[in-house]
Amino acid sequence: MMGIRDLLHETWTSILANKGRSFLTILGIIIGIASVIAMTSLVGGMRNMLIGELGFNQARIIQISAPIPLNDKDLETIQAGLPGYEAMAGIGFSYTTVTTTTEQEGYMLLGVTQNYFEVTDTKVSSGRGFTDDDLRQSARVVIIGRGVNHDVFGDESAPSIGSTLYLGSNQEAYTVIGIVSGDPLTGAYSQIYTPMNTLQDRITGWYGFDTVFGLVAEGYDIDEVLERTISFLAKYQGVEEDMIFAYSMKELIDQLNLMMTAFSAVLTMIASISLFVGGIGIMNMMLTSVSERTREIGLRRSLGARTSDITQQFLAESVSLCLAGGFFGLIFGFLGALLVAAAVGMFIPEAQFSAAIGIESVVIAVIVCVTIGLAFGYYPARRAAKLDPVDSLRYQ
Amino acid sequence: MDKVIEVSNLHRIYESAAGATPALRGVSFSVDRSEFVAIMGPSGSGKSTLMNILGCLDRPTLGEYHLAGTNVASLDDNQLADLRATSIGFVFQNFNLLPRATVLRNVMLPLVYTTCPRAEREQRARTALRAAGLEERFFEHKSNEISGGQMQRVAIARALVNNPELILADEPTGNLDSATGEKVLKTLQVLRSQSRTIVLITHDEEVASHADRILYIRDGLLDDEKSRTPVYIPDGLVDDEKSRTPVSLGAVALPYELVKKIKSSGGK
Ligand SMILES: Nc1ncnc2c1ncn2[C@@H]1O[C@H](COP(=O)(O)OP(=O)(O)OP(=O)(O)O)[C@@H](O)[C@H]1O
Ligand SMILES: [Mg+2]
Repeated sequence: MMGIRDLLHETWTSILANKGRSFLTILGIIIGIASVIAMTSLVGGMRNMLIGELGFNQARIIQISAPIPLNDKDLETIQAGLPGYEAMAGIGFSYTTVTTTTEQEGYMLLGVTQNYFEVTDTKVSSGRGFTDDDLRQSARVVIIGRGVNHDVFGDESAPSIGSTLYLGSNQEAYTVIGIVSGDPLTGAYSQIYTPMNTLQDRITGWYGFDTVFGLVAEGYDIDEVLERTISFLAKYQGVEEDMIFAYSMKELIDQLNLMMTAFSAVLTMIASISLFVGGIGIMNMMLTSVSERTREIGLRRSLGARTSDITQQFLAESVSLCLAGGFFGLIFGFLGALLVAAAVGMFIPEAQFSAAIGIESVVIAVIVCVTIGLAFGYYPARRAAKLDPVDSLRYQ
Repeated sequence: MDKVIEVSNLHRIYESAAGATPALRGVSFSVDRSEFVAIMGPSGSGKSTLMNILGCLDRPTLGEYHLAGTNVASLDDNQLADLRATSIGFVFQNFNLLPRATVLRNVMLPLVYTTCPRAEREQRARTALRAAGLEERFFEHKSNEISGGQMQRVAIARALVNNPELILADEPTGNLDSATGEKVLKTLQVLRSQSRTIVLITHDEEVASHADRILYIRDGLLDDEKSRTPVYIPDGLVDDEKSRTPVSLGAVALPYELVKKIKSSGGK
């Protein structure tokens, strides 16, 4: 019985003995793996940009608008009577202008409850979120999107925290306490957030939420909670169900996901063909190798190799070849994906698009390569092992 | 007496599309420890067939083979492989070295299939190479960069390295000129004097005469009359025994007992 180190050593020497041929043979695998990796990284990057940046909670959010604006008390009542929500955040919409030394610019102004950022998974990337005190005192504080920060302060770096923003026609002074991350594709990019009470007390004078975001608790079916919400609210406000406006992002995200998956599947299928052809190449080379090395096989048998030693030796060789192909494929695939991402970044600078290079790709590539190596190496290896030692020693 | 080989009534029939060929038809003999036995016979007499069975590469169709006391028939294929790894060393006519590997690596190769620790392998290979009479400076050479005589020494070292019970050599001098062949045979004689058990297969009387004992095989049967203990003859002296023409019995597959009867009855 051969030990694993000997097996690896034998494999290494025999692959090195045929460097040129080995390299040509694994080209198919290299191309296949490279395209799978490049494609999955790009598709993953795209998905991350479209979905990930929206916030992880987005898929579990139900947006609710009722004919009679809801308030904090209503939210409590609803959550008490309607199981399935982990939390609810409310917002009020408004519009405001920001006055700088040079110009006036209009922005969407959102009054939000304290838990808004958490519920909608909107990330406050620098500074802080609103506190209960901010709400209680209707504090003159704002959190701004990156786009607003960029427009007003010119620079996207942190020092603008603590700066003053002059809002509305009265040019009232508000302190910037945080900046929200988010892509140009997301609404958060060019919005200004203020505590709900500040909006109500100091800006609109109008009470009640325009929209409520309900975060569906883990383990609940979103569509089912949605239906219950509609009927509950209709009864609660004494209106027809079609007056209650509620929808979830789930459907949209599902569709997006489906599209991406279909896209990946097509690309993966094309890559699979390349991998299959690569696998056949490996098998062909291994078969050639077996017949070239018939005498060696006979010799090894006479020296005490078991049939399993021979099988292992050839399997190890084909798997190693495939893994080598996979290794180069990974490198080329990642390089390709980075290159494409860099090109996208060059042409669309605002898009924060980066290739999703994950450990999963490496794991998948390794699994695929080992599988191809085993699948296409098995037949040649068995053939080698089945050779009669006496006949193969006499083989010319 | 300590016997390394004990075969009795060994038969080997090859089945092929052309029909059945009885290559061995009831061979019985034994070889003692540290004996050097030559198996001699004309082409097609069954020498290689016998060697393959002695080397546990092939199984007899009928008959028994005990190698150092082990009944080989009772072993499965893996056990046979392990037995080859530990108890048998082969020397082939065409050397069968891995051409691109160094001499040392070639000699270390059999140890891969044994439990010999990696750290000990090179030392054992060097010892074996010295015992086979190869000069130290060739140890790191590629095995296709040395002469035929040196190759056969490497092959002998490879056969020695696992300290086998039995060394089997099939025409080890067949690809060598007579002077080089003579040196290789002398090496085998030295090994025999160091208590190695050697079975040499040849069709050459001169080669066979280096052994302690010659078993003559013909048409798959041992010819007891021609099998003998050779007196080592220095060059230049002719041995009448060796010079006699063997009686041809043709290729008729008759049981040996029957052939003997026919012969003793004078063909009446
Ligand atoms: N694999 C095989 N299939 C069928 N017949 C075989 C096979 N191997 C050998 N034979 C036959 O068995 C007989 C003995 O062959 P073997 O190779 O043992 O002879 P040998 O004494 O080694 O001859 P040589 O001196 O030429 O090597 C021959 O008649 C040969 O044709
Ligand atoms: Mg032969």
